[in-house]
Amino acid sequence: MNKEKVLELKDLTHIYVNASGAHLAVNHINLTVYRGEFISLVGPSGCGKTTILNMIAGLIKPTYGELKVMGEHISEASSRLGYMQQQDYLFPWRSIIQNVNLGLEIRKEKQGDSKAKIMALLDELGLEQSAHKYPHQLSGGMRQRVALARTLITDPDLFLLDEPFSALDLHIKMQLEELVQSTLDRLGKTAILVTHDLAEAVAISDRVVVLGRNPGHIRKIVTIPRELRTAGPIEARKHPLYQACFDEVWHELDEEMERGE
Amino acid sequence: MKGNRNKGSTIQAPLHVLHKQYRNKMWRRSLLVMGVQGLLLISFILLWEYSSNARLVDPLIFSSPSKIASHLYVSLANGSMLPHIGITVAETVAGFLLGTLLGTLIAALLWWFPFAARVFDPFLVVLNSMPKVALGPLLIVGLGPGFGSIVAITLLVTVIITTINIYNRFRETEEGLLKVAALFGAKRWQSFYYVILPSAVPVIISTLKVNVGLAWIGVIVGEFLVARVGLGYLIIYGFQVFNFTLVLSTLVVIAVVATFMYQGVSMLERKITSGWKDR
Repeated sequence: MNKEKVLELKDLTHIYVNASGAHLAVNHINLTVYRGEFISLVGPSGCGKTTILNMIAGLIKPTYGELKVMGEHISEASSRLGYMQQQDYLFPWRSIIQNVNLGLEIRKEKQGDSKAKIMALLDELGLEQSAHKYPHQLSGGMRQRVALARTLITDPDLFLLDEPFSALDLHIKMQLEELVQSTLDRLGKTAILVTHDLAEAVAISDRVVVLGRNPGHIRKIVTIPRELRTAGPIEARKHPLYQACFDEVWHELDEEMERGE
Repeated sequence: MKGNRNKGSTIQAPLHVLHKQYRNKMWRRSLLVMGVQGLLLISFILLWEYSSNARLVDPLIFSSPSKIASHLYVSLANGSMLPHIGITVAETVAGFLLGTLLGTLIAALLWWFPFAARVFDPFLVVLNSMPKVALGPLLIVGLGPGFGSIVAITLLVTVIITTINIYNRFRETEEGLLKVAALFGAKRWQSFYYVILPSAVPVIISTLKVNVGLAWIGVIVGEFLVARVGLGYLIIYGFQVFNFTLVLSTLVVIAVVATFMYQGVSMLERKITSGWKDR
């Protein structure tokens, strides 16, 4: 396995300060992610999953600790990162092709061959018929695929996925998991997925990071067997090794929930 | 409609019939509504004519539809009404376009400088609750009577409410959309250009529609105060010489022109937002 470090978190800590006080959201997170890995963050609400993701994305600054993407410290949104949110947040006034082009426009990258690139990408994701449609004409699953295309077109190394599958129907959701995982694997991309769906986390990841709350901290990192990872999210759920992994993560989270109450 | 597909023709025929029945029903309903509307209008005009002739109402004040019609016919045919229509339409269009444009610009500045927005907030609230046309005399003295001061009054009437509406819309822009832009490293002006402004387009257009109505108020009041030409001037002139046929004819013209203007802006709205809908 290629051991190039894509992401390093050292003692990452964040304190929220607002009118009602200061609140320790995440405390001393240490994690290293290697190229090609698929990592899931799971945990109860209030464990700081999204805070961690937003720090990596450069949207909020760590109060303490170190954060490196591809060996570089980052202070603002980095072009090495791609981010998918829970909702697709396509711009309703832009056609699909214009939506996908958004990142390139904002970063003022060369427009010359971008149209051909976008069409090829839409084709790969099964969206070629929709290029000139508008978001409200597409179904939820298709729109989230457009959001994936919008992220892919800027060619980031690290994908931050903030529950991008959670708002979808089960069938569409599993198809999209499969599509995202296989696309990222084929391109050799690294991904960090925040999810509250343990089944999804176990089926899709190399490692599942179980977080505890008050303040957010890492309880345990569960490594998923290679066989499950290579099977793909739909097949992995039927694999004989799957249940044991699921139970391990479940048990860990169960203990955390009891601790909290 | 071309029922050549043999398979499923048994189903297609009734579906087709049902659709046709539904459309016929809707069509009959629309026809009925239009019929009643026409009937109401005609009976109102007939009643008015009758009451005026039979002196149930004072014909000096209420005139009569036939006198109004003949006055309109004459003044439109000899062209004496046209300059008045032209100048008033020009003032109104200039007023609501400038009001909307300036209001959007101020809203953008308030968005850009949040500190200024907090400072100016109470002043905007006071200005908005004030009857702005009351400042008319000041403007007339300051700018001199005529086109400029009338457009300025109109601007005053429209600009505050436009600023408040559009600034609020700017602030309520979907966080998720702003996050998408921020994650691509958008600068502040890029967030404005790519997200804030386009997402406010429907509100800007609907404000434009509201401003058409407000602009008419500003223009007519302005013309009451100073003008020597324009529809507001005709009303005041008719009032001063006790020619209420002139006053009412002018009102009819205003109703027609204002309706066309409003429909024009509605058409513009449909054209601009035809490609996309707000979620």
